Amino acid sequence: MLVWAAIVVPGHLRQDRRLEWEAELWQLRTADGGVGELMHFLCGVWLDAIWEWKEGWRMELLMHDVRFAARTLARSPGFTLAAVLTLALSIGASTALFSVVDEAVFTDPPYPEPDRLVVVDMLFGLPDGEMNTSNWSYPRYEALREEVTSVQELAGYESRTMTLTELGDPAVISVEVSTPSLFPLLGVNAQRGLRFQVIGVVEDGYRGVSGEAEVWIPMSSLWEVVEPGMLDDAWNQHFFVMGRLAEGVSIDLAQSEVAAFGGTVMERFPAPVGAERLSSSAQVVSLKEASSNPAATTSMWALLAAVILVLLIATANLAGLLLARGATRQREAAVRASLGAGRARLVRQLLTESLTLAAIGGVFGLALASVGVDLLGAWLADALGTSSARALQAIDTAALTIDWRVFTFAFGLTGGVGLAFGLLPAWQTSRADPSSWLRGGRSAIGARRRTLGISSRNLLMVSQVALAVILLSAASLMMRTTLNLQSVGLGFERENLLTATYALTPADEQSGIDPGTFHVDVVDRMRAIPGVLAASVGEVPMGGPTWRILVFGSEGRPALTPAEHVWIRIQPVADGHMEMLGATFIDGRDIETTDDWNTEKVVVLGRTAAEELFPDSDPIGQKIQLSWSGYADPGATVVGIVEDVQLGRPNDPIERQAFVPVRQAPQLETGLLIRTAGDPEALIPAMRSAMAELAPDLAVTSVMSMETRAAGTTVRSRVLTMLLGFFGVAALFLVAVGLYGTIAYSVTQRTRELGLRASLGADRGSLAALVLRQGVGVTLVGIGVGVIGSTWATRFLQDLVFGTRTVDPVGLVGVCTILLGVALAAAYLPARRGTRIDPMEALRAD
Amino acid sequence: MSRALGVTTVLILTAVDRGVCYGLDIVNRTAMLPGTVYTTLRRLERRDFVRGQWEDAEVAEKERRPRRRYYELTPDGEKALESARAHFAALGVDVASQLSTVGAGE
Repeated sequence: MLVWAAIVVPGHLRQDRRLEWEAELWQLRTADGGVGELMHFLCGVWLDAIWEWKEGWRMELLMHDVRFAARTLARSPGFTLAAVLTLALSIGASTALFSVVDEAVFTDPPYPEPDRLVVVDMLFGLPDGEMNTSNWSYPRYEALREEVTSVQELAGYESRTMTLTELGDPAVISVEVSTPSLFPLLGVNAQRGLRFQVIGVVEDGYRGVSGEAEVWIPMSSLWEVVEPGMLDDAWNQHFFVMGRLAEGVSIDLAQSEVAAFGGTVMERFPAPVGAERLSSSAQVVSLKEASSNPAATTSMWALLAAVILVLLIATANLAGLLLARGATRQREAAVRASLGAGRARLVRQLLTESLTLAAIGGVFGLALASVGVDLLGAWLADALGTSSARALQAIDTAALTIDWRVFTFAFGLTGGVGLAFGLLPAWQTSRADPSSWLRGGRSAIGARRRTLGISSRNLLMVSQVALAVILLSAASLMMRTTLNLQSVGLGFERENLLTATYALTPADEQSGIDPGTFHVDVVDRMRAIPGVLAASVGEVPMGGPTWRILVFGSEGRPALTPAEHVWIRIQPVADGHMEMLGATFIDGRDIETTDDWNTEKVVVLGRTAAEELFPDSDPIGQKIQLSWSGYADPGATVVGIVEDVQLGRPNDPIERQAFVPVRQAPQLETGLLIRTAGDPEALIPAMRSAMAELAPDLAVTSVMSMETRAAGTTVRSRVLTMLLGFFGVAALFLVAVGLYGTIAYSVTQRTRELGLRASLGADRGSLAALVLRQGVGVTLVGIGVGVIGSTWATRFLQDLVFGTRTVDPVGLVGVCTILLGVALAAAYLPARRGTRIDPMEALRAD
Repeated sequence: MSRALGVTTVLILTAVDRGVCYGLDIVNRTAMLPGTVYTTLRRLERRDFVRGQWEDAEVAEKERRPRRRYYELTPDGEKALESARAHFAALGVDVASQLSTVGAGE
């Protein structure tokens, strides 16, 4: 202990202090002091040592160092500018990204007592089978509120887009429909709220749980006015429920009470046809867990890691530059050393220089970050996907700020970087032996420096290359993922397809509109628009609406036991739907106009469903029983089989699927799909006016081309590809500059040697090879280390990649080839200079 | 005298004034923590108020213990202590009375 403390004390006092402490320790021991006294004494010794150390860094000396550093840096403005710019950009980017990660990962939701906030999910599933989360209906929610005591202040909410029709042009707005209890639960002030005329004013900047809402509507008033009957329908389920754990109640206790309540739902609310085979339950999930989005979080961490890799490469690069500068300043160091400056003094001077550089970079970086966090943070939060399944937002973009945590991060980063790129050159320079320097001049030291300086420069280069390999391999993974996502077969043609959704209301139905007939009318009107090749209603891939029902019997295997029931994704479609989609027929026929309400029920199956339901026989002409009104008994006849269509996002697993005629299974809500001859979005006005003629007040939402929709689902991987690619190129550039510097430096150092070789008859080729060999060797070692590193590092991208494994040999080979090419190019220029050395001049030098 | 001395400093100066002292002895007499005592002593040494000196090797040898570092007041220190005492006396505080005699042996 005493020895360690003594190391801290500046050299000239060290011996004195140590002897003094030892004497006192002896005294303490003979006086037989307790352990407490001994501890006090040791603490005292450490305080003493640290105080002496601090005194060693006298302020005036420090200021002198800083002034000297500033002068030195100002003398080479190019180097300083490049260094500060690199540091500012990479520190700024890391800090801005860290603030996003900080908000997404470390910060609690911005509500009072966030630990007690929970989301309550309804669960449905097959007996003994997997349970799927589902939404709440108003009657069930009322029952939950009355009976469950462990979760209080329950509130229901859902996000919708709605069309404002009475204020001129229809405008689509984001609406959050909620029960009045939501605002007190979340501690948000709603002012001037009127009871029925709906619109109140919430705090400025509050965008709701989904982060997008502009208008809030109390659930009861909306449904009373717009969708009557909904408040009483126990099976019209489409909102989420949030609540607060009662004081002192654990989440496990709440879970057991809520699950028990969930189990009674089936008995309490008689189920519609088909659904009676389900069993029900409910679960409690903490808000933090419910709003987590692993893929978004992983991508943020990946970006942060990438930026820090760039920062590390930049640091290694700067260390290399400083090392080269250190070599040229060897004489200065030697002179100062011979005038009495201790090694510590020299190291301190050089460290002050690097820390000053880092500090300037850090200040600019922080400034950049505080500007960038608003732009970049909000953009990233959007692009990387923030909404989780329960329509909760993972990141509150408005809350992105440079708080103390972010500041600490930036501060630590700056200090660490400054030390990292300063320490090695400082150590090298301080090793200068003044006598040999002053005596021997350049050549004597040149020989000495080569063994030390070059090897540490090589080490720096190896680490830069290795880090670049890791970064580039991550970028290549994301690029492959994006390409895979864009080219993966979806089972339908995504070009020239206009999509939208609309929904009739129960009021429409009560006023005598038959949904099936209405949908067919819509399709007919669309087909009449010039430029439309085909049109149909049905599920819009990546856009809904979605129904999943049960298959509980098929002709080949009648009377399946409940455990054998399978889920199937079903959609009512218009005639010619498969042809419109461009789906591939395997067997049988499309849905036709003759498949009407009064004819035999028919179904077209996707390949997976057909193979699973009829493993041994030809499905065409056989019957399956579906848990849907009219399809249970005697069931529907299979008339066609198509290749599976991807109904979710491109990287979702393919589901079993069935298509039924819209006239036979009308639903209020549907998607609209229009195949066009040209640009689909050019037909939007025509489509809207055709709809307006048929039903002026009907809100047509989510209108966009399939390409736009698909682009929306791949935006995360595209953004990641772009950013990682950008960082990768930056890394390549830094590596090239670093390598060029290293080789050029070594050529300068070896001028005499190369000249000697040339004079002894070495031809230009062999001289160039000699120089190139060094660059290539360093690069190859770096690539080797980098490949090993990247197989480890890319595992963390597991959540994000699609269609490739995280270790992708093809991509790695590509990355290594690019790096090697860049390295060769960077080494070639100085190598060529090496071959042009005039032997006479080189030998005459010095 | 540019700066008035604090109670801690005055206490330690007083202790040194009352007899030749070494670090642990001051710790025991003032009942302050070793860390405070050491750093204060260093500060006083730098301001030239006290001077640390190693005791004769022979004395230590005779008493079979390591050599101690003793501190004594310099003329500057005496002056400073005197004016500080006057300052505290004017405030009605007798700093010296806080010195414990326990462990003030030798």
